[in-house]
Amino acid sequence: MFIRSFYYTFLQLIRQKTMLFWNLCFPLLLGTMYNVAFGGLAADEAFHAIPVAVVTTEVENDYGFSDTIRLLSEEGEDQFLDATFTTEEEAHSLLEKKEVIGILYGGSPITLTVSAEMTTFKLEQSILSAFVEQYNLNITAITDIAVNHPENLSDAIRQLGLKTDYLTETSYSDGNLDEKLTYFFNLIAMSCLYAYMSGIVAVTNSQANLSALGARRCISPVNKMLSLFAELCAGILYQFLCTATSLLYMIFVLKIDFGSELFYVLLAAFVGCTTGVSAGFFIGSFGKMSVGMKNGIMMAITMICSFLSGLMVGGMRILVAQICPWFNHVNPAALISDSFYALSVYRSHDRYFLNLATLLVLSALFYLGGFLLVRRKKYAAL
Amino acid sequence: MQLFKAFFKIAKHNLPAISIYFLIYAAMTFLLGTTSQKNMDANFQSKALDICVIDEDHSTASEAVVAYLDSMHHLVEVENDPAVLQDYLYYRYISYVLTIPEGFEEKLLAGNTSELFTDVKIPGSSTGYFVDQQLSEYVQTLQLYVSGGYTLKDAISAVNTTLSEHEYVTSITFKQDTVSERKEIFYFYQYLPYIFTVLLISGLTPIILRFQEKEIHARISCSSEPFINRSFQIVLGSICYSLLTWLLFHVLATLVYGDSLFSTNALYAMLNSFAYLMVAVSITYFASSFAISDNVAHMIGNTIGLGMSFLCGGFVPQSMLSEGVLKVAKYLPMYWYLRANNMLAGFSKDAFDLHFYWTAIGIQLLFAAAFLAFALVASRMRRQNA
Repeated sequence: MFIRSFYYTFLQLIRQKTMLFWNLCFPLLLGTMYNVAFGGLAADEAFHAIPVAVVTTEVENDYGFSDTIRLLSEEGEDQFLDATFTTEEEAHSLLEKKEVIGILYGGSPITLTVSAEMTTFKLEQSILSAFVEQYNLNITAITDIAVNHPENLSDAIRQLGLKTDYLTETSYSDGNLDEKLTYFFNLIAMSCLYAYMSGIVAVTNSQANLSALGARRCISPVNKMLSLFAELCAGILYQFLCTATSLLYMIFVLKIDFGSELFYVLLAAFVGCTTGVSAGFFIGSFGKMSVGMKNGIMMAITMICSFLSGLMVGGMRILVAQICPWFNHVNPAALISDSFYALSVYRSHDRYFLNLATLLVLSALFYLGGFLLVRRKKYAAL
Repeated sequence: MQLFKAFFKIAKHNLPAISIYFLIYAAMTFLLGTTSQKNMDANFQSKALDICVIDEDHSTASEAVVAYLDSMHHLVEVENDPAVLQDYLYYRYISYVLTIPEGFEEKLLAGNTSELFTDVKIPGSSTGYFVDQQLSEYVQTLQLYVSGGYTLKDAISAVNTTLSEHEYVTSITFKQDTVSERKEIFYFYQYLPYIFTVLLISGLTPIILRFQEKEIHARISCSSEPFINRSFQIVLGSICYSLLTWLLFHVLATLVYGDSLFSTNALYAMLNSFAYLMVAVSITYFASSFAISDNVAHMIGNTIGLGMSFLCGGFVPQSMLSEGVLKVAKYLPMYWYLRANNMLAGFSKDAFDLHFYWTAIGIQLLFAAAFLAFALVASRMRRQNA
């Protein structure tokens, strides 16, 4: 009986075009869009030489300002500035057209002019401002030393000429730190949660007051628990196949880096689907609301969970961790995406298994609640 | 006006399903709007990053470095646990983790120029570069003073005096009124076209489709109401429906953003959103000229809404999209809407230009007219084939 119920539910599910769209096509589509849109995201974070206009004064001693600028504008890996030497009027017009980030004026001290309208280039403006500050700081220091300790001036100039390498860069993991990955992790998490639809279908099919099929089943001499269980299993398998297709598409076609352990990635997706079905089953078991209404409620819950886990705004997860730390430990979308994150960033699997265990506990609670709500129902009339 | 009344009866019937959409989108717009904005001052202030400093030296020199960083950035207290720090860094909640190891002060005083600190940052990022630059230069100046015969304390105070006494940066504006505006309002407008597209296609299409059902259409056609009147009432219904949606979001925006909704540039943005509303209505008409089911309408709405938003830079700024994507996006109406909005907000490299603004509005209206024409042709063809 189990196999028969399982088989027919599975057939019923794959024949529903709407579900196929949301569970299979939608994640594929969204994944492709993400890939198109986020293609340049990492490149945007990387440092590029900053375009500046340079206006030099006619004074004789500009403390080697022009030479410094030329040195910093030399093409190569360490190029810091992309300087255009020009007149004041021309510099202003370049700034107005937003072709340069700022105007550097030579002299003593050197100064910087930026446009208040270029709010999106705040970081570049700040880097320039730090450069100007530092340049002037060194000049002041040399002047101070020349005035107060002229005997040490040569030592100071020698110190200034030393090559510095104060910082040693380390990292906490060898994993990929590309922020756009979290969008894909969350997309798969959303796809797993879309399994709620199968859960709602399973419960609607088995409840006499929700569907004609349910009424027919009620009078058949089949163990209801068994057939319901078979339907839920079919739902999990169906969703897992959809999600796995999206995952494989992202890994092999879009070349998204989910880490090297494909088995664990798929396992996390499978557990995620189980939780999704259980949540749908639980909400589906509540009351006599129409299927549309239940779907609507679950859709809203899924979207809110996904939003709070970072489907639309990347850093949402940490914001939630600061405001309401426990929520990340019970939000299924956050747990699923965090499992992928743990796989891609950490060598050990502790955090990954903790997430899966929490998901399984959540699913167990949902299934238990659902079964308690649907068991031993009798109807005097329908 | 029977059809007009019937239109809103159907709309009322669909209200629960649509209001779920409406509430989700309203909540998301405002959440997105409030999370996206940071730093909007008119006077130049250096960009303050969120960084974490772990001081293991606890010396005069290390405290001076911490104080210096504190004066430029936000120092975030984070548990000194690599897993937690890694999470914060990964989700870009902090940009930089600096560790000042024991023995820092001795090395500094001895004139050592390598390996004074260890740091963790997003490899190759501008933010990392920025902090690296500030730190190295601060320490270099301290060493400069020390090598010039200053004591450490004197060196620190000399650097601090120079830093606090001078203003080297001037911030200028080329246009008077853009600066005082609050930018959040433009984030609100940035997400609005996505919401309009989805809400109108999934909300309005089912209503229009009811009138096209075979029997209902036949019944309406044999009534005494002239054809012009019938079409007029349905079009009027659609216009009222979309205007209501537009108004509702603007009422919400007034509650959240207050007066800044009515500053000059925001008014331009409002008109821009109205032009896009016309595009959304005409796309809806085009979609509903094919006999589709309500479910298919939802799918089409979401696909078109998300697709255009991603391709045209609704979710990810246009400046981050690749050239190729932008070339394709130029053939979509939302691209022009967003480009105008970015220009008004100052998000893009486009300088403010009214001529461009009106061109963008014009292109959107042309798109609207084109979709409407397609819709008319499609529905006529369908009727002839029926």
